[in-house]
Amino acid sequence: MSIDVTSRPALDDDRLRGLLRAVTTRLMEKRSAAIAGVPEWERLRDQARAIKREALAHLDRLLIEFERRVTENGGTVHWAADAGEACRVVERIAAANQVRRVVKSKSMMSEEIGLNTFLEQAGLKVVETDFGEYIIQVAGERPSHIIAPAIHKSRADVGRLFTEKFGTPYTDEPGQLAAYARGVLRDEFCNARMGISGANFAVAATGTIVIVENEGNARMCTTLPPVHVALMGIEKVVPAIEDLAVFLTLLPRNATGQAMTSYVSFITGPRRKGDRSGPEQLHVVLIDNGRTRMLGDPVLRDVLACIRCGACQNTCPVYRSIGGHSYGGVYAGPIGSLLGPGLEPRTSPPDLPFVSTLCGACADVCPVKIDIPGALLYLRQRAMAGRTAKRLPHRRAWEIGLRAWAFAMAGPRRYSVASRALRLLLRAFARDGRVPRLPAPLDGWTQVRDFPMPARETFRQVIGRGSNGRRE
Amino acid sequence: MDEESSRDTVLAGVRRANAGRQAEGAGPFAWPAPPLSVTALVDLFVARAEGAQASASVVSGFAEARQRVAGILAKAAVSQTVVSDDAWCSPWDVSQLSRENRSRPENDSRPEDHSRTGFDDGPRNHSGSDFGDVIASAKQSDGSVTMIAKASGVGITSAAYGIADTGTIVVCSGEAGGRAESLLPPVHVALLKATDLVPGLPDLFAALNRDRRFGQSSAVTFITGPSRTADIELTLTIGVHGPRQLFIVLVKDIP
Amino acid sequence: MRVSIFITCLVDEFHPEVGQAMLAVLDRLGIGYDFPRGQTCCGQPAFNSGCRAEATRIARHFVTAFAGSGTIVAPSGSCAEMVKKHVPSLFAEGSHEREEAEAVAERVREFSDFLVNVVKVVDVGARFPHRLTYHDSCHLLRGLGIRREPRALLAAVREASVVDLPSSDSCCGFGGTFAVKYPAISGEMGREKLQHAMQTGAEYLVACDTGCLMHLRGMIARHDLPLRALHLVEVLAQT
Repeated sequence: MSIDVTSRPALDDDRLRGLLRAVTTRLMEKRSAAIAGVPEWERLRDQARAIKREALAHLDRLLIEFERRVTENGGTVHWAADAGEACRVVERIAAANQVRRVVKSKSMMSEEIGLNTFLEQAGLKVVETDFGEYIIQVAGERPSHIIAPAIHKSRADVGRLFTEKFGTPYTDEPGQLAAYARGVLRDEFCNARMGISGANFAVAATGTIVIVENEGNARMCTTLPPVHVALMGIEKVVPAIEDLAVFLTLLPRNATGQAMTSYVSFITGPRRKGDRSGPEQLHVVLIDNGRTRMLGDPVLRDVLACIRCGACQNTCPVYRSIGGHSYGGVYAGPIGSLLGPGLEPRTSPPDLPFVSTLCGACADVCPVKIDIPGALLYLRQRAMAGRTAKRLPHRRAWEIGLRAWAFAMAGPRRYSVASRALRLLLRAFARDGRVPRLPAPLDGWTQVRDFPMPARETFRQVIGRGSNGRRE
Repeated sequence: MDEESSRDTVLAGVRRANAGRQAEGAGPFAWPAPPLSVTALVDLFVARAEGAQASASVVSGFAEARQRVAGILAKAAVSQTVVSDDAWCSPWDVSQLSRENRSRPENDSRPEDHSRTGFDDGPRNHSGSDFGDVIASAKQSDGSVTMIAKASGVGITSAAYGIADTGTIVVCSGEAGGRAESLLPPVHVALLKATDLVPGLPDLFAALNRDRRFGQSSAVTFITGPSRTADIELTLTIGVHGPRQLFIVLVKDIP
Repeated sequence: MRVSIFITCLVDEFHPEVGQAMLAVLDRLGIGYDFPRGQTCCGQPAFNSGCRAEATRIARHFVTAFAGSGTIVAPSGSCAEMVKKHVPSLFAEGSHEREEAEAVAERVREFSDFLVNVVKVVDVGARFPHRLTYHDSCHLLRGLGIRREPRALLAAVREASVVDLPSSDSCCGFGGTFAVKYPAISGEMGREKLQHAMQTGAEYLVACDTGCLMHLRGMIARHDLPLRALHLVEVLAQT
């Protein structure tokens, strides 16, 4: 099913679109204001891109170094080739530690591997603690935005949801809704035996994982339960601590327009002798799940530089019209159109790379300068060549059509013949000097707008008359 | 597949993907570095911290610092405070804080607004003492600090560094503690020496490297203002899971 | 000075008046021109759809058609961008074809860029007593970096009142085959663009790309909106 079909419900939902537009616009305004205070911004983007490229080129060495350092500091590193393995690793750790309840801070990776469902089926209770993730967990939905997972829910939506699920008196005041969640989750933090987090970055030289947040729930998940499990895509590794100065300057500003988020945690191993608090065990799960395949692709490997800031989503006119759920996968927006085919080729909608006008607004804001339009073009080529796991709808029809087009355009005489044929065809479909309906598969045009009549004479016919097309 | 072979598989996959690839080194980054005097650093830090909804005050010497903290505690009027055993927090005589509790509180802390945020942690202090109990983490057994922090209305820690550019304090866990104490109580009071201020992020990481903090601390935490969320319609709510109030006491004129 | 005209297939077929307007401006400036008759298309529809082989075929023909030209002017940001940014890369690195393609690509200029940066003129003697607002087409803006030039040219038009378009750099939703494959999304993006335009109170929405204009005009006609869409060069041709 084409995304034109799957996005219709979102397009028909004026309220959703209003919310999406308001929130993403605000985030971009804040971003602009935050960037204004950083004159070295463009150089930082170049540096970030260079650091990521270098890290990816030496990824095996860095991962081994990271593993060594984590182990030296008392942590345990696990490796998982795919989603299933990653889930089983976590389950084994839970079983070995009599874990019944798990508290989780925000982790796109956990969504990617379907961890919550897996653990729940294994009899564990998993509680999302990031406020936005908590809301959608209660609602039984998927996140619709990398940074603000509940962006599609108005305050009234959340108010009604909480009243329905918890029987509390109705309020749509965000502060009170947050306070309710805080109360509930405070107990969970203290009672859970396992905390699961993601990692924004991992430093090879020191074996440190870095978690960026505002609420404090990640600190809770990684401090209070006796077992901390950090899930990490293998591409998150950077070589040295100094590199973080670059990324921590770029990420908060690009994502939410903050110079710095409320908390950044740098975790190196579990608690040490003499520490008064902190987990007894730290497990870092290094997950591939399609990343090495992307790494081996000359174009897609650059996509692995993504630091999940969400700015491309906020600026994308398509995302802002259709929202995250229309992308049919864990990741949405411009980066989702690349990570979907890259990481989830069997389930990602095959026409995802085509749901873009290639306007380039995303590339302008990407902190690591991923050439998103270029990568989309590359994926389109792959799709049209039939080299995708899922069949692209109407691929043959478009291929034939474009071949015919190319044939017609490859020489002036053919062009003239095609031009005449086109005029005849359009005149046949014309009504009152306009073309209200084109035949399939071009009827997509006339669904939402008129098509013009061809001019009485083409430009080349006009210029050909008399002056031979020359003027001295 | 067992983990050993997963490791082999993943690493082999990475090597195969990277076969024959070169990448230019990123090289060092030339950060702008305008020279900043200690006074300028202090002013910048205070401005940025306050911009992030922290309350920052500047005092001179230990005695004034103690007074300021006493004022904050008196205003908070909670029944229990926990003090982490950071290296330079401990020159403080914790019991001295209780004794000094009769001094007038300074009128510089934010007004409490429990109704809006719904914070209601622990019983308020209605006894004769303005401070309630002040408990030093150092004197507690290992397992109990978390419980004590959870039951405390205020947590006092020191900060190892401050980043002037962003108004950020850096708390390092370790033998010095500071993790649960700066997280669980709804009010966090952090003591920071003015001489531990650095201009920006690159300076901070250089300092951490030099002091080998990453080798020593299981958790280094950047704290910029109180906890917050904007997950509903981007409406800002201050005070979620982490503290809802952050008081930074910046202490000058200490060696 | 003389130039070769790259008319672009959309202008040729549907809006030759844009080409004629361009000639009128060149006449006024005393610039000679010719029209290489072999020209057809730049290949962008095939390229953007992922049909690289077909795009290469068309591009090869483009290079041949313009091999003997000097400066080549086109009334289209996206076609100029296609030729300058993508056509050379369709040919093998180090090949003679790529060299030739690069040479031709270098000589292609979008028309407003040509006027301001080559002819070095912003006042082309135009008069258009109406309220206008300008939309930045994506490939013109981000692909070629042309933002200042159309505005400078419009500012010099006598008696025209130019107002800023909110979110002028936001895509209008045309995107070539995107407009056909994803009509509902394309329509929504166009609706937002037109709403912004109407908010300015402008009579005319001006742009440098016929693709954008056909899409927006089509929606204006369908919804009978109180707005007209015009190519920049049509404004410049008015006296």
